[in-house]
Amino acid sequence: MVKMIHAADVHFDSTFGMLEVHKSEMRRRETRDSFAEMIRYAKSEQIDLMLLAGDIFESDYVSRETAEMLKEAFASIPECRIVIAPGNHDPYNDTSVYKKVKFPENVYIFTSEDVEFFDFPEINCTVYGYAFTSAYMETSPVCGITPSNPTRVNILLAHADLTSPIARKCPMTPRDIERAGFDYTALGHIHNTDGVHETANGKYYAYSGCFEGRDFGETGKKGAIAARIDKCEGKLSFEARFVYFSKRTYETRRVDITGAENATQIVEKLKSFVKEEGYNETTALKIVLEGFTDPLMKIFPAHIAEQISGLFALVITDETLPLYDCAYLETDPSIRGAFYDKIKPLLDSPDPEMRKTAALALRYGLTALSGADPVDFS
Amino acid sequence: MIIEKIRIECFGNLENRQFEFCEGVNIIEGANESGKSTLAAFIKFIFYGLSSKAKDSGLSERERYVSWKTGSAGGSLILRVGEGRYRIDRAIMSSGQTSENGEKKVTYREGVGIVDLSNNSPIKVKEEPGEYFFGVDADVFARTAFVSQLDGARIDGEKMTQAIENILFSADENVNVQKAIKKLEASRVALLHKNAKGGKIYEFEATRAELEAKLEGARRINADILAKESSLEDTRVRLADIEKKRKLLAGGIKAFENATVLTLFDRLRTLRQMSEEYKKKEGEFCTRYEKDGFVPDKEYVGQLYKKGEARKIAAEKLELERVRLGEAETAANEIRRGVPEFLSEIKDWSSDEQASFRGEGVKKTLALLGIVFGVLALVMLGVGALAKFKLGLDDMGLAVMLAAVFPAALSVLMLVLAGVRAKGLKKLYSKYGASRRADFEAAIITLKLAREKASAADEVTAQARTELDAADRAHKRAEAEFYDLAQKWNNENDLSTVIKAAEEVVAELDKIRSDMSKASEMISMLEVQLAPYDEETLRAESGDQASDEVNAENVAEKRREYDFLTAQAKANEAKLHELEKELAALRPQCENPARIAEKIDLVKAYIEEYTKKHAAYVLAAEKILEAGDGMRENVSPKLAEYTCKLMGGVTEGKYREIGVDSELSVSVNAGGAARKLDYLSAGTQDAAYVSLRLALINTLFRKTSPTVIFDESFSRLDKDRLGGMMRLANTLSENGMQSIVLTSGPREADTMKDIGEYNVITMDRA
Repeated sequence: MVKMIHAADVHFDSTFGMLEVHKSEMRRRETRDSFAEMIRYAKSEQIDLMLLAGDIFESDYVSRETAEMLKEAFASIPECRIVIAPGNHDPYNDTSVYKKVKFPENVYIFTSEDVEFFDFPEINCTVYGYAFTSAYMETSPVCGITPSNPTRVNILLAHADLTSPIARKCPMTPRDIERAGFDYTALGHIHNTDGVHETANGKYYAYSGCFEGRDFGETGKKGAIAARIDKCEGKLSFEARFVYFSKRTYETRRVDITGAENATQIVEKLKSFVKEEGYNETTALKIVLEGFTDPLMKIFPAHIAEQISGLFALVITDETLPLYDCAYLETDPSIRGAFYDKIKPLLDSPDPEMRKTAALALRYGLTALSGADPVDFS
Repeated sequence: MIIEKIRIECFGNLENRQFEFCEGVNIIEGANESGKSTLAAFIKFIFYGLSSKAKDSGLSERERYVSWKTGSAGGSLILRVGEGRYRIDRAIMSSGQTSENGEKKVTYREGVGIVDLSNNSPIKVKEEPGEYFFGVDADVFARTAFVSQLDGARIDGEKMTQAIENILFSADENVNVQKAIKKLEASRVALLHKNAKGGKIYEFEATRAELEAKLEGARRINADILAKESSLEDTRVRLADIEKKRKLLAGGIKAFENATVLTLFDRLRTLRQMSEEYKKKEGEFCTRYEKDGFVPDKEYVGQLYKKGEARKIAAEKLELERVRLGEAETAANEIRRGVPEFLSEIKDWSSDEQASFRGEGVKKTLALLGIVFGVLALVMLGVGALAKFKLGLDDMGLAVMLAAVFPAALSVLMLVLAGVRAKGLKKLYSKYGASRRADFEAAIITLKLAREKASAADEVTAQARTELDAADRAHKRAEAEFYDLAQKWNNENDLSTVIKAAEEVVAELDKIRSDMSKASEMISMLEVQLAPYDEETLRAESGDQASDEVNAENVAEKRREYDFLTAQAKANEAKLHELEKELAALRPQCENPARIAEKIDLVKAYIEEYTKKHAAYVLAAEKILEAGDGMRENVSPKLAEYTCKLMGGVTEGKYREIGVDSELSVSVNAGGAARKLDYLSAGTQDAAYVSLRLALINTLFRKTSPTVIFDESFSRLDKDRLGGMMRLANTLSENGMQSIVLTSGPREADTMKDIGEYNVITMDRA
């Protein structure tokens, strides 16, 4: 039986959008801490095989400290075989850290865009994989590749994009995976995992997701997939579970603030929301304000966010609509009605961006018509 | 709509009050603070409730009108709409609560109900009663049905013409399309200028470009740093490896060197022993070959050679001088044999030479005198002949001719003497084998030369003899000297034997001494070489070290390897320092590229947000402009039409047209001439304004027209203007619109007496 852990998209030294400088720096440190925790986990759980499916760091930003940290971390678990398939953010090339740094002997790195393999007969396992050598890989090298020794536990370690067959970062489809017939395909590239999938022919594949959320598009807890896989007389047994290592979670929530008449009320409402949801210092929260508000009430999200504490980070965006009685506006014979009449087709536009612009224009227009200042920026 | 009755239970300063109204003009008279405006506010309260928003006074309507004594406000209003009669009941209650942080917070509960009085059943409606009955919101109700104080050309501090234009162009007194568009434009410009060369978006774009350039640089430097750090690390590892190898080699070489040095110590000892032996051998040898304490040495041999050579040269010289003497003597004899016999007997030729010289002179002088005297005799003979025979001078001629005998005789004498002398000379010359003076002189020269040569040969011979003597002496001396030298050590006289024996001794002694000297040199050299070492320490150390790897055969190879590694270490150290220097220079230049990228993301987010807002401002302005155009085309004419209808009544038909002129301002047509509002009388402006307000009500209130409330609107108008306004109110009542005129004096009621029916309600101070 092979005890393995599958992680990907650690993105060491990457940027953290929408955070203050010192918090971004903190997040970069925390990513290293989370990784160190996975290493400790591998040690305590006596993991045989660590699969890293690419984008371990960002070639553009990677620092020597990170390279050294990785080297030391890998060296601290000599009994664990660490296999790396470089991805589009950390491609294997002449300038790559993979090439510049001498990693310990228990680290196996794929170096070619063609499928290669590392055989570990002592654990009856073969790991196949390939490396990105630049930021793009237009076609998948896995096509037509199948495991050569069916008695082994055959694993494919791949940084690939299953979301679109025309993706430029190694497009692959679930059908390709099924046809290749690897017992487990450890995937990297997509940051939000949708769990472990079983193919029609009884094989498994999964994205482990990113290791730490980096922005509000990467919500929820993050970590790695810990799995046990065995093959006995051709019969495959597989069990997997997620192990979370992330220090913080990103959450994006929509809050309806209809009825709030001023900033204080909005702040109160959001404070109760944060409390009810149990968000705390480990949460980077994005709140999208929605609902209907007094058109003359100015909402400055940054000022509101400043008044709410107890979170790692809080970003507020305003998508509220001005509180107008649209039925009334439709029949309003004044300039307001006429203006609404002109904007209305755009509010119903099939283009969501146009709808947003139209809603904003309606708010600004009605504000200006009321004689108030429509300035909505600081 | 007609308000029939109002019952106030509690509202502001009014408590338990009831008012009844007629269908037409209702004039409510009351002193200041009697509650007229509160009554007007109550009407709005019944239809729309109280706003919680703070007004300019700092108090919200709720705070203002909810009684602080009872904590409530409420009452009812009975109205008639068409055929139906309704009652609206409304109450608001306040209650105080203390929040968690100790602050007192007032909450309000409000209740409203509409009762259809035809069957006394409540009507369930979701919206406010005002919206239910009028179809407009509170704002529109307040902006149209409530007419505030008319103050000359201004209403509420705003220019009346502006209000009129607003109504005409936007169907709202308070909405100015141009101003709204200007505000939107100002916001748009603040975000991005039309030429895209200014505004926040432009500034952010510039910042972004700047940051992107910075990022590119930081990425490059970061990559450079990474490469250099890798190189630094590699160099360190390499250096450590080299040091390790060097240390190992150095250990081996050191052990080998110790062993070598110890060997040298052994060698030194041996050499010292040998040196002693050589000294002994030298002593023995010298004893064996000495004569009178002298032992031949190189100098002696040299002297022997020198003396031997000198002896040889002297002998050769003697022989040479002998030959030379023989040659000189032979040469002298040869010269002497070369002179003729007769000449060789002449000892002294100088007197002959002088005699010859003198004889020749005398001979020549005598001959010359003979010739002269002869010539003289001939001349005298000729002259005498001439004188005698030609000139006739016989005597004289003869005398002369006779006289010529004397010279002739002299001439003969002289010539004879000359002949004698010549004979003497001939005899002299014959002695020298010559017949003539020239031969005599040649013989003299030959003789002279032979005599000189013989003399020279004699000198040479004499010189050779002298030289021979000297050579002979020198030879003897050299012989003696050589003998003396040879005798110093050997009794032999034979040069080669002596030299050979001496040379053999010297060679043997030299060999002994050379060996001794070599040993001494080696000892000195080794002593210098071994001075830094302590033999005992080395012996102790060499006991610990084993140098299996290094031996005499490969030590040079190992040393070369060690030297190579040393050079390599030096080169690597230089590289290390170079890299450290480069990194020290690079690191301060490098800002974390991730941080710059984050700043770019932030700027991009701003640009995106502001671009959307910019688009919204542009869209809003564009659509308001379009809407404004639509208003002018569709709504404004209708408003103008209704306004004119009212104005015609008020101004007794003087102004029947109101419209928009080419400059987009309102003008009124009076007798075919359009006149701008600004140039019309204040009364006409009042009429136009109120007419437009009412026209607006007609346009906006689609379900039923509200009661128009004039809140102290006419207090500052003169009598004529007041008359106009009251006529307007009357016109309204004729058109089914109820009006309530709030006033603090009797002027409105007095004016109304001449116009039409009205109802007066007097309010006492609350």
